[in-house]
Amino acid sequence: MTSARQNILARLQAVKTGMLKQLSPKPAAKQIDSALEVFSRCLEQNHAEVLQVDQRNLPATLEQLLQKKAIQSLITTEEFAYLTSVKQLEVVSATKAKALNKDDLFYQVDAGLTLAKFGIAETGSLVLWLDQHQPRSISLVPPIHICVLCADNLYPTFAEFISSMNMYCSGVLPTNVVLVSGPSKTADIQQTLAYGAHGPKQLIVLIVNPESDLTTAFGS
Amino acid sequence: MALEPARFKQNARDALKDQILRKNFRGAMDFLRKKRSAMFPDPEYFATLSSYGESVKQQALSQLPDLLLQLEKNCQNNGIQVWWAENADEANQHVLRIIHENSGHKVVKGKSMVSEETGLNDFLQQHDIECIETDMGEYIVQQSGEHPSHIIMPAIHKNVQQIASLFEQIIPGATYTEDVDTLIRMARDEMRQHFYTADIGITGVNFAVASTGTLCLVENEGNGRMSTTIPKIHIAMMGIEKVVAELADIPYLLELLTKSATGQAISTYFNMISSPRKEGEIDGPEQVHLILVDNGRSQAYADEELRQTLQCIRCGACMNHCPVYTRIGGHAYGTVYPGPIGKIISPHLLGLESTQDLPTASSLCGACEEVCPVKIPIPKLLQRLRVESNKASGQAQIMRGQGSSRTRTEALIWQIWSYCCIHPRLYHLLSKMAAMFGFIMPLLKSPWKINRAMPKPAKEDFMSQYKRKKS
Repeated sequence: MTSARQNILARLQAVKTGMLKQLSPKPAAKQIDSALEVFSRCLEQNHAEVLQVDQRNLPATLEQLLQKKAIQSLITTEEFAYLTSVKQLEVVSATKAKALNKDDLFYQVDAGLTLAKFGIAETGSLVLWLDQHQPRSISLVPPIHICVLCADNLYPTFAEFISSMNMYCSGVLPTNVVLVSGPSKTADIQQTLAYGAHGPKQLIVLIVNPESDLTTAFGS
Repeated sequence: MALEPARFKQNARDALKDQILRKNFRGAMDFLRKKRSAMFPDPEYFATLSSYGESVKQQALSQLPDLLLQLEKNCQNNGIQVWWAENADEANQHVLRIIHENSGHKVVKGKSMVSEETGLNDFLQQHDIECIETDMGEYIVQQSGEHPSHIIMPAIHKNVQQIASLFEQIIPGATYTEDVDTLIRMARDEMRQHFYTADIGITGVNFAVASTGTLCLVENEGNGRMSTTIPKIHIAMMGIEKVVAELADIPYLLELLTKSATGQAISTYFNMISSPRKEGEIDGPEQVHLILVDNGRSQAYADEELRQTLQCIRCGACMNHCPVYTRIGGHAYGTVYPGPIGKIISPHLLGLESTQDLPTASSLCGACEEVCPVKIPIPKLLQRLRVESNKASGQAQIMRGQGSSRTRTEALIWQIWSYCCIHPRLYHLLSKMAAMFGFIMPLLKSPWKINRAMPKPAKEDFMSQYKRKKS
């Protein structure tokens, strides 16, 4: 229906809106003194579990975590393929598959393990960069989401992240970018907070210590 | 339950008598106000941030047609299909056509106020398309056969007992419980099957970024992500005023939105969608459609003052702080958007014929303007709409239904009044007479007396007192 388009545009274009109004001054950039601390605190306040690990200890920590949470079936991406060696753990590789098995995803898998490309300290947000390397649903459908973030990739504020974002995508954004700041929640029943509304009930964030090279931590 | 703004006065009277309703709203509003104010401890910071937000929205509005064209082009370049709808019916027809073209049969909906505006649920039901609201609050009101009573927390008028009884009835195998965790788990399990089987996901849009062709969705529950991830088609509906120029505008608007709405520094999920599933990706919708809905917005756009209505980012803070809304609740308004913002937007969506009483339901206390994150001068706009609805015929056409509350008797009374006021002798004579016969006033029949004492003129009129005291 091009006519609706033409009519709407004609009505809007007929209006003399005058000069572009100058933008008011932005609030001063927020000073985040200890990004890592603020980031962890915000996430914990939003009911996420936060662990800090050294890179070389990441595989062992993950293994312990899976055991502790009694996770028997895990869906994850290539970076964590090495976890297939863990005993009594079924690992579904999301990136090797041509399509995701909905039944597995909805009713079988205990947890999704993903990498967050960036973090935002001020609000305790994980930035999920969802494209061919990381499907959307593994951080969404299973009841537990475990997310690994390299502490190097922490931005102080969302505004600062956005202003550098172009670097990573040269103007064309990936299919989906999602900021995750806690487990799924709702207060729609008499303002009472409940977790696990539709997304994961638990969010566990592993912050990897920035000192050494990340690739070694992933066992490649 | 039908939406009838023309019944506003009766609805308001009924609502005031409903003690449970009043208690539910009072509690909820106090809760939300406290949470918001904790987020803005520094009034100066709020002033700077909201001025900035206001200017971003005003700048975007000042170039609205250009931004919409840019959004359309960039969305299309990203593979998102863009459709335009002048009114509610056209928007619904687009949705139906897309569903039919893809042999769809079942819709899961994230929260979308525009789809409430177009009455999409009923429309799809009439065309045998199953349509499930998945936001917990929206699900509760849909299953109760009601409409949302608040734009952010749709089921805010219900308490846990009422919801417990509802779930006992509608969810197979459910037993009555007032434990909120259990209730949410029951609804979650119920909804999972719907996400699993639906082939269409419909959501609203909080912000659309013109320069990148990105649709932004704000939510806590994950149902918005589910609706835009699992079904093979995603349809997003948005009012044309939701477009902003740059990605760089988003962090500030998002902060204003979540802090004002629910007192959160950020929502659990902030979802930025820039394209359908690309080659090599294994999930996400194969098609993404964006429907741009006018539905009366261009009418507000045409007038410089009324245009400020379109700055709104739908946070709901104005209703949370409104003494009228807190007492009568959202349903009394009989419109999709209740409260202060509803009073200034609904006349554009529906015409003043049915909505003329809404702008009068305000003491003009100004609480709404004070908390508005984009500084919409709501009291001023309410007064403007009162003027519009009383306009004499033959004046420039500004609004649908302008002049519809004008009556000849009232107009005549005001004419006489103004004649007296500009003729001093007549005025003094009448004030003297009012002082002499003032004792009649309490005896008169008047609707004024229903809730108030009748004013009684002084025994001596002002000018006589003035002259006496001066000499």
